[in-house]
Amino acid sequence: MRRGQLSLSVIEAAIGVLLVVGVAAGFTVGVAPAPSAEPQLDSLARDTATLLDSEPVPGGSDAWLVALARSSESFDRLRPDTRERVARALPADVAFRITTPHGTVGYPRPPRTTVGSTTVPTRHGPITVRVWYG
Amino acid sequence: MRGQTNLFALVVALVLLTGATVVGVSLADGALAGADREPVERHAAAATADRLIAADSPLTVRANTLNASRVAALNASRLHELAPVARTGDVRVALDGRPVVERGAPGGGWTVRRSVVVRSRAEPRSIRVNLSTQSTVSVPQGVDRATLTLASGPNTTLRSVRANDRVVLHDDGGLDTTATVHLDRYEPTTLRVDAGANATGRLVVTYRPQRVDDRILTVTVDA
Repeated sequence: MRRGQLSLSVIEAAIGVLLVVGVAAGFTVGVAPAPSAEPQLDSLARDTATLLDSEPVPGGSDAWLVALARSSESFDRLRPDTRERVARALPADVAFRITTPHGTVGYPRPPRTTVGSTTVPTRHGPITVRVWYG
Repeated sequence: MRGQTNLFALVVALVLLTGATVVGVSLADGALAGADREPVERHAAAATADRLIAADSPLTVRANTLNASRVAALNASRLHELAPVARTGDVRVALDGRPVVERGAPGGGWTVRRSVVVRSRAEPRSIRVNLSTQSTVSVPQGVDRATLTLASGPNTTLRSVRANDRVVLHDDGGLDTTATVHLDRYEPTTLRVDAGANATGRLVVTYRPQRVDDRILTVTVDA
């Protein structure tokens, strides 16, 4: 009789504590997302694409993006210049990879890193710029 | 006896519950306080950077391309007008680490980096051509406008000027004027004056070659 009554109260208290801690934990878990690097990387990828879209290639009359997507030969010719141009545009600690219909420029993408990306359509096919902290 | 046991259990239950509530609420409050500040700085910094380098920003010629002289003219109150979102805290805008504008003295805060190019115009360069010997002028790639001064000699009517075969100036009554024409910056331009075989006169083309430098724009907001 006595044991039964005590344990019932303790169970009630335990349930109460669980409830309160549960609600409090809901706040803790729900509102504190770790500051993520992804939006920053996305805007850097967009910046790179914008710059490549608005600058003419040396000695040509196309923007970088159009010239890269135009043809296989055009892509091969521009590949070293593109690598240099993009490396110059991005901060030193940011690595990149540009995917075109004719191949890729840049570094191999490491697995399990946060990557910012943007895709720009051109009249010869889409070009994707990916950047990450490397 | 039963009543006493009940009271003891009640007291223990109340102490436990109060303790759990205090600990839980203080944890949650700490989490809320920590989470609340940073997004303000993050959003303010990102929005300010977006605003500064947008295509329609007063600082840019086109998206991500800043005009050097307009950047040099930027000051704290202009920045405030451009990006009112950052009014709550201390703000620093820097290009490649060199501060451009500073309001207050941001110590920590949140920093956003963006890739931009800064376009500056060099000293104007003039090319003078005597139309009796030469009727074309070459302007290098990247120049988007040029000023042409045409002076026709006796017995000559200059009717039109072409830039890469596109007519940019035309007057049937004769061009004897100074005008600014817009050129295609994507390719080198050849300006040609449509003049007959025995035309005389002078053409002066003035343009400002452009320098484009890659920079990293950083915006720091410390709210």
